[in-house]
Amino acid sequence: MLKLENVQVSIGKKRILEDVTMHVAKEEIVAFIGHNGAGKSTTLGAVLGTHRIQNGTIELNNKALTNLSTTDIVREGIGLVPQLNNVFRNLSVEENLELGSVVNQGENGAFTIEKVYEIFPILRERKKQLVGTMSGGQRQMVAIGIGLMSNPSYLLLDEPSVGIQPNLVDKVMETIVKVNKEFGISILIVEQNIKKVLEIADRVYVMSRGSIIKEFVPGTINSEELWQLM
Amino acid sequence: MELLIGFAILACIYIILASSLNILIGYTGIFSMAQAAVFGVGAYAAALLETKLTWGFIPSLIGAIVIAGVISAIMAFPSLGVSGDYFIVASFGLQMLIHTLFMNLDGLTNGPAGVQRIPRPEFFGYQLNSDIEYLILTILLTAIVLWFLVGISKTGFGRVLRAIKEDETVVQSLGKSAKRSKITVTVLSGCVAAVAGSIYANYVTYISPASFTIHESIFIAQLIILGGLGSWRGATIGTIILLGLPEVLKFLPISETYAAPLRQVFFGLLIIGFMILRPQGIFGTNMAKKIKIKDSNITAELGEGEKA
Repeated sequence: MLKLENVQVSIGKKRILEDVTMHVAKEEIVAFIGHNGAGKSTTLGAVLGTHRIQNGTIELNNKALTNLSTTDIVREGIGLVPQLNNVFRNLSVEENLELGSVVNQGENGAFTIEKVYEIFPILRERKKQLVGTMSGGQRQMVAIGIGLMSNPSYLLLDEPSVGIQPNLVDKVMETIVKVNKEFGISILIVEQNIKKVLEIADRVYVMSRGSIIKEFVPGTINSEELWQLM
Repeated sequence: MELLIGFAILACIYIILASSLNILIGYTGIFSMAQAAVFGVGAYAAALLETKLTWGFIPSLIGAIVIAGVISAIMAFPSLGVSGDYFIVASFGLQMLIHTLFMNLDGLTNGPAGVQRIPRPEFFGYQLNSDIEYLILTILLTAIVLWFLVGISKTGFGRVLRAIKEDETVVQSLGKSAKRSKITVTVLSGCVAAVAGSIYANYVTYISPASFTIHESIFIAQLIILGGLGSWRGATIGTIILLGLPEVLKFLPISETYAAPLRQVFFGLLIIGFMILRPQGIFGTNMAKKIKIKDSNITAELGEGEKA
């Protein structure tokens, strides 16, 4: 289980995360929603060690991640697909995927490029193509592929539907479910497309001004109640 | 003929130097202005090991590589803490510092007078006194260095370097240590520059601080900017063009009083012309243009994305 307790993060003098307590259980899909600037991406950064936390603890399977470097956190089994600029445009598909590879056997066995190609067959056809010359949707597939290549037990996705055509959003969501169900990878997904993410999430956290203000299971609150929270 | 052999030896030395900077700037995006200083460290180390400790060519070459590697690591640790433009300024400072040490460490470097009577290499009692013999040795060492660097650029480490050039933060989010890779490539670049330094010292048999100034660092950068950053062919062709041009210009009917400054004007105009007409250099790839052209075809490609 990935567990955050009373996590506080400041950037400069500004407090971004006030007191975040949440968890993601094994093989669960947890969504993280809230308006822009609520602190969702900062929370992912705190888990991955790119944002230093001032107070609180972050644990993965009862092991503290709090003071580990990003390299070590990735090796412990946390993978991230950042929101934008999440691929290397001047490198080929294959080179991008190889960069994601980390010597980390994890709980699910090593993730190979072949497995990524099974999930995204189009990437196999275009393995020698420079990623910068691909469409937004295909670039997002590469980004998810890179995240998987680090062989994570927990994959953090930061707005995977941003910048891609609406008709491809369903495809991205289907892929996330596939990765979760077939490979047993737990998912923490930050998403602005609330309708779509509620269709795939097991649990949802609503964040506002650096704090979690609500936790619910999709289907247990109506849309009016949800809009009031947002 | 003698002139041509001399030119070929110098071209090989500068091809090694340009390549040592290419892996730093062209591959990793670390713009160093201290390459002449590291070149000088290699040249002085080899010269001093040979003249003061009477080491042979190969042990001195290895010694120079190790010393330049250590100096590069010492330079890399504090200066790589800053990035982009700040690193250029920091490396400029290191260039000035090392040049000042060459000038003032009289007991070791003999100050402005430099190190003299550096012997030509000797193998099994046979000394390479003729330039043609020395050219063969130089070509052999250049080929080894290029083979090594091209090989490195194709490994996983080479991929990480290119990724760092694009986005260091994303590299870190993948669990790769960008800082460690940057220090490693700085040391590697220093070691390669030391090979050029060692060949240079043994060729000219006399070195002084005047050969390792900031102007030299700028010249080495010009070689790869002209040839194309990140291209091994570019580093080679850029070197041959910029080294060869002054030789060609010698045949123009201009008095020597005007020829030298005119050469500098010509160099400046050439670089400005390239910056305007072909900023990626001769063999560099203009990715921005390539991506823009391809983007216009993306809508049609999206259908295939859906099938996936």
